[in-house]
Amino acid sequence: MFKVNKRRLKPYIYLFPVISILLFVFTLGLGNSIMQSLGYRPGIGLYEVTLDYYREVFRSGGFLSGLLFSFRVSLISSLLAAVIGVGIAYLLVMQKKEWPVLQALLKLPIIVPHLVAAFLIFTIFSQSGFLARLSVLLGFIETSREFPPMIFDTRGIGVILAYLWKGTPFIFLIVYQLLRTIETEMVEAASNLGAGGKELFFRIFLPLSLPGVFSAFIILFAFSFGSYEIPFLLGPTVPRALPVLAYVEYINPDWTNRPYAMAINMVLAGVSVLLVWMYHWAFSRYQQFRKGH
Amino acid sequence: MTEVKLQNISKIYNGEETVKNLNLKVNKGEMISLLGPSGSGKTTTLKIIAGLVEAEKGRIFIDGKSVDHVPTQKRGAVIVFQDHRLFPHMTVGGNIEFGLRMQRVPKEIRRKKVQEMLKFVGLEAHGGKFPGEISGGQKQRVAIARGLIVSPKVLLLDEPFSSLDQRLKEEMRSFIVDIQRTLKITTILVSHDKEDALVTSSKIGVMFDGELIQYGTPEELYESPKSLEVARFFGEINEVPLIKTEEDVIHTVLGAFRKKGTLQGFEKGSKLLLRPEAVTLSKEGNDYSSDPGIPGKITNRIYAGEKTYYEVEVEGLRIKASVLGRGIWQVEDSVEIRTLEASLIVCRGKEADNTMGAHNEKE
Ligand SMILES: Nc1ncnc2c1ncn2[C@@H]1O[C@H](COP(=O)(O)OP(=O)(O)OP(=O)(O)O)[C@@H](O)[C@H]1O
Ligand SMILES: [Mg+2]
Repeated sequence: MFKVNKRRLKPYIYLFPVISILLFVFTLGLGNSIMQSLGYRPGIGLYEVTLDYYREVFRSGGFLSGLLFSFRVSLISSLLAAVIGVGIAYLLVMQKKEWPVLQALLKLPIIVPHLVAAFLIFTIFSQSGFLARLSVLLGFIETSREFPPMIFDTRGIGVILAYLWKGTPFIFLIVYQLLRTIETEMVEAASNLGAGGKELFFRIFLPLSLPGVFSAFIILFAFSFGSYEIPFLLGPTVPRALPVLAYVEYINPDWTNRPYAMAINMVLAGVSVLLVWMYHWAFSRYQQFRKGH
Repeated sequence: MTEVKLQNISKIYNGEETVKNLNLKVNKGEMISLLGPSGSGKTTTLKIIAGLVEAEKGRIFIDGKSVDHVPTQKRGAVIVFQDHRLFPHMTVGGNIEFGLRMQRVPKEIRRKKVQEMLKFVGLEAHGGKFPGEISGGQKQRVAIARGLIVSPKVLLLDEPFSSLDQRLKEEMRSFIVDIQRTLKITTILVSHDKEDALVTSSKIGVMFDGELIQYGTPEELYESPKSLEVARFFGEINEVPLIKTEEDVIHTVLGAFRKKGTLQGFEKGSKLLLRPEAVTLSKEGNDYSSDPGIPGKITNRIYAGEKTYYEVEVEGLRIKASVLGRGIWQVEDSVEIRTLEASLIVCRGKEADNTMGAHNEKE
């Protein structure tokens, strides 16, 4: 009895230094944020705990439209990335050839920083960008002003494009490996029993890779929902994406605005926790599938 | 019932000929085995028949019709894989149902057939479970049921017993033999275990390095193997050293034998083989027989329950012998060796292999 316990504890003991630092930083940061969002700031002499900041944040128009904007942009970009990524992976797997150069090119955007991605999207899609100039040159439009605004626009097309450019290869990378193993093992069995191309995709490939795709989708969604540089650089000022809103409040020279930033951060953290839970749910289902062989 | 014929099939993987000019005919409703060591091309052969792998050369006929351009979906040659390959996201019932779904069989009929099939393979209680929740032997049965339910013209079983323990293996073996006799499906079983083949099949083909060395009845393979390799595959064997051959007598270390009966086929270059169980041991100086025994000494004894294996030193050679039960001899005992003339095996060597194609054509 005692022995078993000891052995169980071993990994935790070995990992203690790392875990303790992680936990320390995490709880300190999180605890600090929670307290600040509740208006408890002994540093500047504020001791009263209140939900006023939350109330005000939720009531303000900027927050709700920002939440909606962030949600919509993240959902659309992650969904599109999932569909396109799975599509490319499926087509490549069915080719049975490796196409190493094409694959390397497809994976390239993963290592490119988000800042560079934003710049790239800007130079291509803005009204002074490559596509606008090309359209003028080809006579589709008279001046580049007529080019539909995609950057800084309220629909967030530029933001979506940037996340799509970064996200699609990520989905591809994960799904391609998954589909490859399915291809060799399951597809032989299924096609031998009479399954054609469409049935293979919908009855074998899709259900077997869905949990993996879902996990990848959640990671993309959580990242784009919580990070601020892309909507900061490519998004509109009204509405502001939630992370941008938090950032703006945070750097406000008026220190009394700080609790608003923290309240928004707590909402972002809450959504992230929800996503992590969904991720675990998807992953455990995925593990259950894999048990089969 | 269906007849399957392979004609000059060759498959090349990475520049190596994995299957070499293979000819094979399986008669209607017959069950045969392909036997061979790991890597000899057995699975590849099955996949070629199933249409999952394309051969570089040769043709396949099912019921006399060429199926070279019939895709695997329509060929009716269903393979039960070595590693089951059950669909992990479908229940046992869903797995079995899969083939019927692909054939667009109406739901009512599908459900009825799946129930029947579950009962047939003794898994009624497990239809709702996932493959991850059942044992290896049960998975094997699901895999077989999944193949059987589409009433294949040809059933291809790839090592269906490899993941089972001895008791379960014997159970599965008689299960498969029963199914095959009941449904009369033309069946090819692949194995590397001689017993699987001997027990289940009316014919056995032995493959080495992608080559079908010999194809015939279990008796033919056991009693007149075409090469030393084939003979070894069916169990321990002694190669009897020859001294000289005369017109009608063969002189060997184990005595002289007249060229009659099976020995009539003996010619220059042939080998004489002797199974351990055809060697009789008796006490030295025992003159119950007119046939003079050859003196030897026991050098090793291995007790294996139903049999005891001996190694006897005769004129500097080690001869393997086996007796039923415990065996009275101990190491260092002096014995006399006698050989039953009728149980000697003549192995005509390499030239014999070339006659195989002709052998197949005659059938
Ligand atoms: N897809 C493939 N690509 C390349 N080589 C292959 C492929 N499949 C099989 N081979 C090679 O062909 C040879 C025969 O393989 P095969 O699987 O037919 O053997 P086997 O007789 O079934 O062996 P085992 O008893 O181990 O299952 C092996 O050397 C194997 O490495
Ligand atoms: Mg094999």
